[in-house]
Amino acid sequence: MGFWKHIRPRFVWSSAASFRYTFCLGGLSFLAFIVLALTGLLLMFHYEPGSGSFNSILTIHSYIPFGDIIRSLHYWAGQIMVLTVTLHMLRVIWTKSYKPPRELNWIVGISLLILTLFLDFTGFLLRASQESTSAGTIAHNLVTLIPGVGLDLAYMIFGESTSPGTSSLKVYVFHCVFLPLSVFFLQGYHFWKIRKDGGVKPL
Amino acid sequence: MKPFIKASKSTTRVPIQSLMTLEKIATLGFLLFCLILALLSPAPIERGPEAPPLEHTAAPWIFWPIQTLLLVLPAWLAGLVIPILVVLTLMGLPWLNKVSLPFRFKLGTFFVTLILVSLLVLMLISISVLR
Repeated sequence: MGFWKHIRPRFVWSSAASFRYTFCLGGLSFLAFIVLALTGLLLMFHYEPGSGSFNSILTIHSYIPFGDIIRSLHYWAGQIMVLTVTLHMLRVIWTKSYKPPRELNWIVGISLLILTLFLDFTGFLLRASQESTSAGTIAHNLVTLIPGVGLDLAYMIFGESTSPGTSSLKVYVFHCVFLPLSVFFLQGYHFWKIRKDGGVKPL
Repeated sequence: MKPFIKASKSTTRVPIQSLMTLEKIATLGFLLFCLILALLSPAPIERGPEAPPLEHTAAPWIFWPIQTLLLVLPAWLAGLVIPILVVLTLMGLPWLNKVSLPFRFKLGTFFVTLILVSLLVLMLISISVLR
């Protein structure tokens, strides 16, 4: 059976259509991701990574038509996605829906949670404020603590150290390309596997 | 091949249209909720490079647990070892599930309670340390 027929079969278990069992948390997370992708794409037209990043945010907020609303939608969809993904994980634990044969999909789900947290954090770094620069320095220093590869890994992720007002091009690429694409493909697999493993009914 | 789910009186198959209706209602409600939030509470703009320097900074709310741990434990333990152990424990749940607990809690209830209590304790520590 093809990918689409797995995602959208003609019939589903009645439990899959029950709001009270899943609270639509997985679906809401995906919806938040779609809102983030669309608003993020619009923000990319005006956001400048590098030395002009903080000023470009001020421009988006103050001068670009509907810029403040699009940025606020991006911000709130990001906060909501972290919340819904976390609640979704708690719901899965509560109903023990990670049990065999769903081990692999559970690991994919945890990976999606971690990627969502990284997306949120890199987004915070791109604000290029004093607060985000401090957070970036702390994260950079934590990565350097990894024995052996720490320094190289920190350079790969964060690039050169930044000062308030500037953002790293590497973090920008991670936030706009690598992380969203990883989340997108893993989500596709996650949804396909849910249907393949028998829907959302607990085993 | 045997189905993973045995059909019971409460488990029947329904046309996907009923699920799609639910999804459409949830989509509209979600978009409306996001728009109201965006209009009522715009995304914050923090301190720029020309503002007076910060004396201390707070992490975004999703990283409060790690910030709290960093305040009370060595950085290598709070920022690397504990988060990695938490992730590995979560990933290992399907296999840990086979372990029987010596008390009457169910494993799902136990883990959800453990996560919520840990977050509550970290929040209390954070309040007492930052005060």
